[in-house]
Amino acid sequence: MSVYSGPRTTSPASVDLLQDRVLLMATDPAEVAEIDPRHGGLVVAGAQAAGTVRSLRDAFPAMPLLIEPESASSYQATQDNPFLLSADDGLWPLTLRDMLDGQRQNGASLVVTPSGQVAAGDTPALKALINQANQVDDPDVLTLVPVAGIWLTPTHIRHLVAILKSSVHPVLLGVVNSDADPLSRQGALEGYARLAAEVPGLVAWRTDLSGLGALAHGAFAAVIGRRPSQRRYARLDKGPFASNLADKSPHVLMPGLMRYSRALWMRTEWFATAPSLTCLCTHCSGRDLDRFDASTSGHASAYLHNLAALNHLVGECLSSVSRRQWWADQMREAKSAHLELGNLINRQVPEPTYLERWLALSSV
Amino acid sequence: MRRWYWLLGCGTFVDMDNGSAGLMLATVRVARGLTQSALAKEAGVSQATVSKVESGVMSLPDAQWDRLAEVLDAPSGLLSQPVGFAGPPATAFHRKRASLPVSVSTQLRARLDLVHLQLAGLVGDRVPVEISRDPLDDDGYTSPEEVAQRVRSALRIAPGPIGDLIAVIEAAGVVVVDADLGSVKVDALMSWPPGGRPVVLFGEHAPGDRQRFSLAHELGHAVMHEVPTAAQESEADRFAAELLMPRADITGSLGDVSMAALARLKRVWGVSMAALLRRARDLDQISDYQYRQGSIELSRAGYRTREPVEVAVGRPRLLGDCLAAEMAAGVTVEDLAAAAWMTEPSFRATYLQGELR
Repeated sequence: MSVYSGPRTTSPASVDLLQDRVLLMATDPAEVAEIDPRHGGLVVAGAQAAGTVRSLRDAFPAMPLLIEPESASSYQATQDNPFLLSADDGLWPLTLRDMLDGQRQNGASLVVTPSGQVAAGDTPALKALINQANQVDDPDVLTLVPVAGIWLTPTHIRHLVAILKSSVHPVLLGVVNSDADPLSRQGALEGYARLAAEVPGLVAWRTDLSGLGALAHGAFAAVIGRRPSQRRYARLDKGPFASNLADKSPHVLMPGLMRYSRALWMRTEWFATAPSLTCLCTHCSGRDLDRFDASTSGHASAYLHNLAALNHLVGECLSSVSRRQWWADQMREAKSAHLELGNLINRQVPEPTYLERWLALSSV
Repeated sequence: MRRWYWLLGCGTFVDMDNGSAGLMLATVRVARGLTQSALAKEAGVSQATVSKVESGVMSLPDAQWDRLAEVLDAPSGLLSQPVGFAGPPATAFHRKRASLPVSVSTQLRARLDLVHLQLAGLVGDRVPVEISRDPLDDDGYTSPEEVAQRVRSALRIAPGPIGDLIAVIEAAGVVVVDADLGSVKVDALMSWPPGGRPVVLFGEHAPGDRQRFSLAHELGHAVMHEVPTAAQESEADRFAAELLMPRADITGSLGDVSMAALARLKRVWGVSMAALLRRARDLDQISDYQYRQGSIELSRAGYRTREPVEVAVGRPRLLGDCLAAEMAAGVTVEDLAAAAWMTEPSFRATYLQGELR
């Protein structure tokens, strides 16, 4: 079990609230009632996040609820202005404390700094971000650090670890990349695991199943996006990444394969001539995994499946004797499952490269 | 207990308590590219004698010292100098290819030791050292790029490309010496002894763009490194990249990495197209895939061995200016040679014909 042990020694309430939780990030969290109250929570993103949290607070008084500032999706941090501090009336600029107070007033359980994206190699901006957040001595502050993917590569990772270790608050680490999976870059996944292991109080933020990998390697908590666009940050100059713009079917979590796949892809590429894989999660109860269509109800149903499947994985991870061993087992079994799927449909199913990389890192 | 000193430049141990003058003999011998056997044969002594003298376990009569000095084209007084007389030993860093033979590397380090000795007499304190050491911390909190930014700031370098890099670093008190390094596999080497000044020897064979990057790389070693580390070469490269292509100034220009665009940028920034392409990747302006494609294109066009767009080769001036000032003040060549611990013919050939040879 990872226990936050960063420089701060006076934040037990907020740390206790977040530790060993995997939160869902969403803009329209229709399935909030399905979030596991024992080790879940919700981060609301988007322009309406504050209002959404305010409206949810009364209905879910014990639920960890966070607001993601829009800055991380719209603003580039600079040395002079690492945070996006908008003026409320156009006359008086807000301070960082004002911005954080606003989140508290809207019912957020913990408050997230309105950080901008840190560009490749922009050490002055990154240090300014950490240092200015450190000046706010409230125990419920979480320092959001959205960094360009190249920061995770072998050249820069040691520097990044050292800077993040200087934070007195837990660090919410998001990764920016518009071209591909941010961790697919050479050495980036290994850097991600190193951050989880070496930075006390690290939260894997806006991530996918790699959040569980981070948790297994020592991260304090994880925040997994409901939609693919909420599992990373898009570059400000490039916009979001989409592998197939024509396919509007939902991304479906396949826990046996430890991957997400679009339902239409499954139907056309894997299960056109073979029976679909089925799912035993609390939502699916043995139904086919490729049944979700591109309709609103299809997406909603897929999200419920994803959440149920994720809840199951999180429960297993947190109750395992060794999270790292559990994660290695998941990777190993997922690799085998790809082979079995290939045999079932009589064609090779390439496995995601992260399975082998995580396995190599995690084998005890 | 006896103290033994590992002579970096010569690959031998010297007994510090018993005739450490042998260290100087070893340094001069290696700088001249001679083995102990070759020197012994020329000087009419046995190889065992040279070995024992260098190790400090045997001394020689004056006549034999003079003969060794003659063979080595050195003033005999130089060979009898004790360890430390030219300043504490310093680690030498060099930008080289992996295939550089160890013997060449060893010879170059010994040559650099002698150049330090010569410059101590020729430049002395007349030119102040304006840069400071800024070693990287153990935990990685400071990056080589930050150190490069601080150096730019300390040397009051304006934003954007650096025009005459040699002039900039000579103004900081770093002596740059262009030399025939005996191999095209080494571009430059540098050391900065405690209490002394940084000295860079750089090969005259390299094109201007590579020369500039090598000099910046060596300056990075001078400022950041006092002892060798596993990451030192990568760190010096990162320092050089930031010094010559500051992130804040160049990022907006690196979106287009076509060959034509790289050639245009090379003209502006005075660095190779390959270095610009890599900088574009390191600053996240292009993807890994684009970088690989660009590298393939550079190779296919033959630019790995010879790039288009000539960048002017820089020439050092600091040492020449010092010598000219001394001679204008009436100091003779004989005096200058003596100050540099060189024979007069050797001094003339080395420093009065424009280049160190």
